[in-house]
Amino acid sequence: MAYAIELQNITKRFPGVIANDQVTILVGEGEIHGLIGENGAGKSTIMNILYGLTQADEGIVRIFGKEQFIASPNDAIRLGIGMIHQHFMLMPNQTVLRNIILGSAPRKGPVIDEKKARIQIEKIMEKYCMQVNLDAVVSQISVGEKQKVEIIKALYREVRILILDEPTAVLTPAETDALIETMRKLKEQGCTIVFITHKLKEVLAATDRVTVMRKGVVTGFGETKDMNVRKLSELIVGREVNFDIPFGAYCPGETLLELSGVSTAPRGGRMPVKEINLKVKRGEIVGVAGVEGNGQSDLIEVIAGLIAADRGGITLCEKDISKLSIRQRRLNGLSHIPEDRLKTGTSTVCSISENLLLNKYFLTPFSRHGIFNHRHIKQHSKLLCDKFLVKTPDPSYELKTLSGGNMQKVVFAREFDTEPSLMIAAQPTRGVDIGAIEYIHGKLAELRDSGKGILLISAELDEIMALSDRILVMYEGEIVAEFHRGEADEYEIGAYMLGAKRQVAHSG
Amino acid sequence: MDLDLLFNASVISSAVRIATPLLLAALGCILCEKAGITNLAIEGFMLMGSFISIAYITKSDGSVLIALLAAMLGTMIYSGLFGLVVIKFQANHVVASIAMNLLSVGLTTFLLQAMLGAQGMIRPANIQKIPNMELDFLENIPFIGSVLHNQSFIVPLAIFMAIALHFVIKKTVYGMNVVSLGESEGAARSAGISVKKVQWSVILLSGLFSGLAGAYLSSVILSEFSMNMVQGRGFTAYTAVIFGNTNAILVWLVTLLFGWAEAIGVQLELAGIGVPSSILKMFPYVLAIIVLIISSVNTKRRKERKK
Repeated sequence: MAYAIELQNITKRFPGVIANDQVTILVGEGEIHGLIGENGAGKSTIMNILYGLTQADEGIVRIFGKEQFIASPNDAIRLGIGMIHQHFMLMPNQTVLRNIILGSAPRKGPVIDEKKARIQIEKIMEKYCMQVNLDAVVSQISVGEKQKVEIIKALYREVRILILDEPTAVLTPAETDALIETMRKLKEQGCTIVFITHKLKEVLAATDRVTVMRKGVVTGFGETKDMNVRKLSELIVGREVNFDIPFGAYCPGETLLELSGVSTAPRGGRMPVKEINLKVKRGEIVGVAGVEGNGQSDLIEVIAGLIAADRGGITLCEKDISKLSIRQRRLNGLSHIPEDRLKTGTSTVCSISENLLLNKYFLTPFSRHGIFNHRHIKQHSKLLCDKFLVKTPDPSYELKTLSGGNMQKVVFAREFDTEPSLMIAAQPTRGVDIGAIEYIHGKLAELRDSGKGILLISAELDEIMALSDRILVMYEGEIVAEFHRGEADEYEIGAYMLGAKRQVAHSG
Repeated sequence: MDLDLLFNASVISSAVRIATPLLLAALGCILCEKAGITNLAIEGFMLMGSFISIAYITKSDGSVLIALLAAMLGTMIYSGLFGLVVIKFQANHVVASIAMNLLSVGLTTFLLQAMLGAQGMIRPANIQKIPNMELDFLENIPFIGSVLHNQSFIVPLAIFMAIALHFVIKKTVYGMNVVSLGESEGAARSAGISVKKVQWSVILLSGLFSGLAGAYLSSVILSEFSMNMVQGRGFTAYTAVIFGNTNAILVWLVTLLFGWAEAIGVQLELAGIGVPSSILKMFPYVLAIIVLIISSVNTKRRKERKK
């Protein structure tokens, strides 16, 4: 079999870490090759080397059998390599057409020949059955469309090798299926595809062969048909992973949190919520599904007290909290894992122990009359680090020395430690590896089984479906559907997420 | 107050004259802003341009035309220092700009004494001015004729360059590359655009334009160089760029507005209406603040209406 890409014994060192250690990846011509591993396993590094964004310290790169030195993306583009990044590389205020032709526009002298470009792009769109409005401005199209633009951009450059870096992280299930369909079409036309992901289901569904990485080394490779979820996850994590969340029976108690007719005022760039009615009871996890930007942020913040409600009432344990300050709400038994742990969840320049105490530093015994009791603080943060498996030599280190997963554990430890009666868990496992996901899911289940309520907001539909006793679907700031566990599959829920369907009445 | 006092041909004519160095400096600044570089150093570039052209005139036969070219070239080379700090060493743009501006004041004052032996200011006697345009055929057109009549050829040149820049940004490959940097450096890089080359080009061009702006100020309008003579015109030009939303045509109109505000001040002072001149001199800047407030309120409203 002829190889499109041969990466032989690639080593890349960054100060203090070896990102890739003797990594060998072989990708056959015209195959869809899965590259999987946890965050920080070195997948992105090796692909950046292939795309010329960074250079290897050791090792050989061969493209279509010929040894190459790829010094810049320009070299990669010349060799027919295209890359679609996890974060889209698009110009937000320019048209789709301009984004596609950027860097390789057809020209008449120094002037761009837009007419010719349009004809070329329309041909490509027809060939691969992808339609996008070329005159739309990028900031106004959906995430799925942006991804199409990225793919067309690559095809316009006549790529023969396409690297997709975590392309499905931002897509709904139906959009993911469409993407996999597109990948198959590209393969039929002779394109070689490297598909980077951490979602095992997609790897098994879409790829021909697969390479698994962990901590900078390749831990396994082979035909996809010889793999299964259990085997892959063991290769990824390095030990057995328990996917079954150990739940007790579902027996909801009295209502903990109730929102009645809550609306928020529109603010620049955000989707407000309209007339939200919902209840969270003791011993249940209520999941809120929805494409990001459909009002979830306002929902979280209006409950947590970061923004005020325009109309409606919020009660916690039968007490009206809608006028209370954030601290008062927290003292009444609310805890909140913010959706963006870097922006609102933590302070990266503060120490780990300061971050662990952000919600209780003002209470005795941590401080008395405004003076900190450092001995107690130290003891307590050490205890929390041990209990919540935060991997650090010393809690007095700055938070930014931790990996994303460990940072999230710090946030989780802080919010869990106050023994809340109701927890808002927003994107609790975003950007966190499989090991930490398993841990956090287990802890959420434990909290639920001890008779507390959890409002779970997540962009990962799989996560919502695995954890929630009840699922609410948000679309354009409203709750458009409600299901109990097992009542609907992901496609059904996906249809509501996209606004294609809507339940007429819902109790909330 | 008599409206004619605010809008007569002589006010408009001097407004156009005052607006021209602002526009020239703004043109380079537009390119930088589009490419994501905050270039406040045009203030210092202008000062350097003013100095180079007067220095050339003093030391040579006094040809203003060659002095203009020398100022453009010299200031372009000088702007390379800003490029080095901002592109190569990735310094904060605003801090680098402030450093450049302070350096420019000190350096020109020092060179004025060391090279030309003058203190504070110099007024070369041998200056050979380029005659202003005698546009007789325009005389029959009311207003426009009298506005453009007896102006330097730099005035229409600057307007032409504004239109040309507008075209370059909207229609050419180079323009698209510049815009892509400001929009998303990642997009530019992954499209194989050489980010540093484009960044260098916009900074050097801003040096070129600012050099011409400064030289026009010193050699064409005033026929002299004095310490720190640019007096915030570079900052005003930057303000015009932001107001005009980096659109060359709009920026031109904004510079005209600023030019008009300054011309009015002069006019009122001459008319002797009893307002202290120091207050009248504030007028353009007060106007700048008012327009900034209005434009930011407007954009906010527009954004909210969209939702």
